Amino acid sequence: MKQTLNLIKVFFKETLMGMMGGISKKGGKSVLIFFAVIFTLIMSSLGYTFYNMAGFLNSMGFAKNILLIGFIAGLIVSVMITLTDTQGAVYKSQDYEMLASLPIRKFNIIVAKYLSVYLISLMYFTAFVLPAIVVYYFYCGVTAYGIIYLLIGLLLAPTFSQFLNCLISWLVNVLSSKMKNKTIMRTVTTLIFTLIVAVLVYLINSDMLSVMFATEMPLWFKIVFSNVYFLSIAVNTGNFLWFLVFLVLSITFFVFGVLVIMIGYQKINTLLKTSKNRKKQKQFIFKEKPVFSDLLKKEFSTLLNCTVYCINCLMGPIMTVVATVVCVVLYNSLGELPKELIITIVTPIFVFGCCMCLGIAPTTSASISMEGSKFQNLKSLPISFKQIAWSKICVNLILSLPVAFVCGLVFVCIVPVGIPCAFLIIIYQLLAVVLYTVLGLLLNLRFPRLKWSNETQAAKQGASMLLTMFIDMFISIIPMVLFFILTTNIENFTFLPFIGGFVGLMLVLTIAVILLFVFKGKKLYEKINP
Amino acid sequence: MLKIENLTKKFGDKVAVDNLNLEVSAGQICAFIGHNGAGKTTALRCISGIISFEEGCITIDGIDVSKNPLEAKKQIAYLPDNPELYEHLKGIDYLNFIADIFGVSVSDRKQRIDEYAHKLEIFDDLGALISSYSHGMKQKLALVSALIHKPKLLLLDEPFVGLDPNASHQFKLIMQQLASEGSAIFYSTHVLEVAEKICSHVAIIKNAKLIAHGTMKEIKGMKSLESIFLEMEDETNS
Repeated sequence: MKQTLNLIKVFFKETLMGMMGGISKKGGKSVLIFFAVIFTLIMSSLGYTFYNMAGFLNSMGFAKNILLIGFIAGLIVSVMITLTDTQGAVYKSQDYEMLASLPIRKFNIIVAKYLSVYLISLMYFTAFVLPAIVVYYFYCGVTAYGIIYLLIGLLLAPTFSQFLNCLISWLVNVLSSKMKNKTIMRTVTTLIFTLIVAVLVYLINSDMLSVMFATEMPLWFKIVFSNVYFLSIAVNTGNFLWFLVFLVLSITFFVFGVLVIMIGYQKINTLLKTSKNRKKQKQFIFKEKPVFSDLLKKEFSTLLNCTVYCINCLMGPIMTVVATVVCVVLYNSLGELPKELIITIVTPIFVFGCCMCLGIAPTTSASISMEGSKFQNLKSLPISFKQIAWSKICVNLILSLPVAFVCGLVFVCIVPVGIPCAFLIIIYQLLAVVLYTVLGLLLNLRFPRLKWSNETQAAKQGASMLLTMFIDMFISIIPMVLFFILTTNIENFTFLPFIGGFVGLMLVLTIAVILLFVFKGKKLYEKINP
Repeated sequence: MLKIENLTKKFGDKVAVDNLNLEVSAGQICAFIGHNGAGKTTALRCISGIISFEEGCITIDGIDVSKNPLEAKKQIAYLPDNPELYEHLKGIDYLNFIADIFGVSVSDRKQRIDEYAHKLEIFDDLGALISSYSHGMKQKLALVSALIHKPKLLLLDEPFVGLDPNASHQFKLIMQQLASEGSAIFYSTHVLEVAEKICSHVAIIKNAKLIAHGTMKEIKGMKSLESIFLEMEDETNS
């Protein structure tokens, strides 16, 4: 027990200090305040959205369902965002051999690693669930047991998403450890599982209306979200028995999550670290290539071979495609309502939803951190900062610009928004990609995390990645909420002037960030001490 | 070839290198010795342009490292203490990558890779991914990559760590050959016996300050480098 607690302390410290990686004590305070302000604003915006939704539900007598909606949103977000965190921390991590050589039980190592990932999962979960809980109290009243149940519920409910992550991690690594090209196959299998989860998320979303207006929850819901379902009953009825069921289920998810990882933990890690016999080669091709193409090849090979980095960065384009499909389906399924009203509802959700997905994890916000200790080699070579920066920027542009353009085009072709609006929507999406790409690199140059023991820490738990994500959420959620506030308060308010104004704002912001990058980027690069 | 004048590097309040003055001319092999944390790696990193410094001036073949870093870097090869390479590239791809950066022609790179990779017994493994290499093999690859453009100044941070006896012997010969062809070599080491055998010059650093610099003969006289080093350490301690 003492061993586990010590390890948890070490991993927690590593996770939290890493998240603040690169932030000096001096500047740390202001960045922490910035983090807190953005986090609060995001939660407030979500709270406002939940508040409006609950008002609508309340008029039909379903206000209590806002709690379930908040919990499901939190679970889905924590599953999607931390999908690869567990495998990054548990499998193929650099500290595996060091830990394995110490007299520590395997169970203790796994539990400690599990809980350090859980901390991150809990952070995203809280951002969605806390506003929903406040809105729930507002409409359904505050009770002593309600406060206790929901506080414990908030802490334990993500065990479900964590269990899913553990299961997927285990499956991915069991399969890829037996394959020939382990590293690439690990990325490919993770991508396949990510797509499966994305499809499941889509299916769940498409049936959310039946959850929102249900007195009795559908069977699939009771099975899939069992712990959350029993928690909501316990909170609504005050019955301790249901709360006990929630506790048992959550603890079961935790135990199963740990047990799954324990199966073949050593064997899988050994297999993943073992490479096949090297082929002896006598003839090689020598060809001169431009340095930029070499750098681009290096960036892409890092991306494809670092599973956590790759999946995390591909999550944005994948979710953009999912969001586009959801919006198009939503547009078609709301056929009974007046067309103009549907367009007014669906268009901002598409524009700002996709904008959020596209900027959630640009490759640039971790590309310096991914260099790790190799960064000193790069810095000692006669390569200009311009070339290095361009190669890193190009990777994200190649991944995201076509997705942004095609999704925007598909949407405006199906939803008749009008030519000026269609043009502005596509421009907005493309500008968003450029903005987040440059912003990500700028922040990673300012807050690089070059010392890490597993790729999750570099790819996902750096201050630059978190700041980019929060700024992205802030830039995307605030205009969406603002638009709905304006449409409810101003008669005949349309989307065209709104998007026009925001394209202008986005253009100014993008130019400002590019200029900041041009003037500050090189200085920041030179300042990094690998 | 390498001229360091009044170099001072601080990390916060801690002085890592204090007013260092040093010169390494073409054809010299200079060992840089000192205890752990003395400031050897920091000095090498400053020379190779990896980190900036507060005071002083470093010139490589007359080129100021601070004012013209890219040109200065073209003259050097830097080998860090730990061979961290791009694991997802094949050995040959990594060498081609470095050769492209330094603008080495196809025929030159072919000839040099062939020569050095065979000498260090890594040639047959160049087609494999670096991730499958052992520590020693990575070190060998890093050495080949450092030699691929025939640098005027070779900066090496403990280059013999991880090398097998044969590769170690071969590399000593390569160092001597490069020096005889006019390159300057400045390398940090803890293996004093090797330094004594192959180096023409030696620089000793203690607590960020250079305490001795000169030819091997001048510094050690009739004694061994090890005993001189230990004596100097004791003297400065007392």
